[in-house]
Amino acid sequence: MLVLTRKTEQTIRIGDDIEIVVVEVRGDHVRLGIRASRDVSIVRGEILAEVQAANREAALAEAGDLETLADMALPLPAEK
Amino acid sequence: MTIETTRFGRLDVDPRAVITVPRGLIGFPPDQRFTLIEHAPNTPFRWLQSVDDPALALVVMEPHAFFPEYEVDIPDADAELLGLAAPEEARVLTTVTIQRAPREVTTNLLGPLIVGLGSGRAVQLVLGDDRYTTRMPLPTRDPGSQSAQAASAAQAA
Repeated sequence: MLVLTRKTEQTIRIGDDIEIVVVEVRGDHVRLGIRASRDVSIVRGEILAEVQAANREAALAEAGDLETLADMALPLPAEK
Repeated sequence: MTIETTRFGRLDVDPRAVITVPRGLIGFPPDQRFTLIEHAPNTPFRWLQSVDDPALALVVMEPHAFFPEYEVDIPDADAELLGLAAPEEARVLTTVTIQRAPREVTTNLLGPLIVGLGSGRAVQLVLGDDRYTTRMPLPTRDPGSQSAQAASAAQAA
């Protein structure tokens, strides 16, 4: 892994299209600004891990679980 | 076409109802093919059953049944991949997690699946929206569950 030391307001360029700016450093919190075109997906790493975990958990259900779900869920708003 | 499934046995699937996920569900291989099974009719819940892997099926739901205000911003590049010309051509689904003890049902509003109805392609997005979490409780009638308490508290308020 490439490790760089940067100060507030200094930047890092990744390729031609992505710029990362150190906006603020306070204690163990770093605020970063990211400039990239809209088609570049930018997500927090831990959220990606959470989504992956939720996918795996959704795949653990057994065939009978859907009837249980239908039974326990509140009366639904009228479906369109 | 006929597919094998571990949960539902052998199923006939209309090839036009096959959904391909070119980039894969997050944490799953790319180019997997799925189909939606309406196992419990008249509910917002479905199975997203893999066509290629008999044992792989995820519980998904129509999030708007419980979260009518739920909004998803689909990036242009994804809309293009899905062949979307209008919002009505997208079907939004979210995965559902069922905890057995304590009984708790949650849905992942941060990682919705967007299906292009015309193209049969789907992507899983990761939203940067602070209003949502990967574990939003569904209101249930089961007393004692956190979400049921939350729902009754909301009604009382």
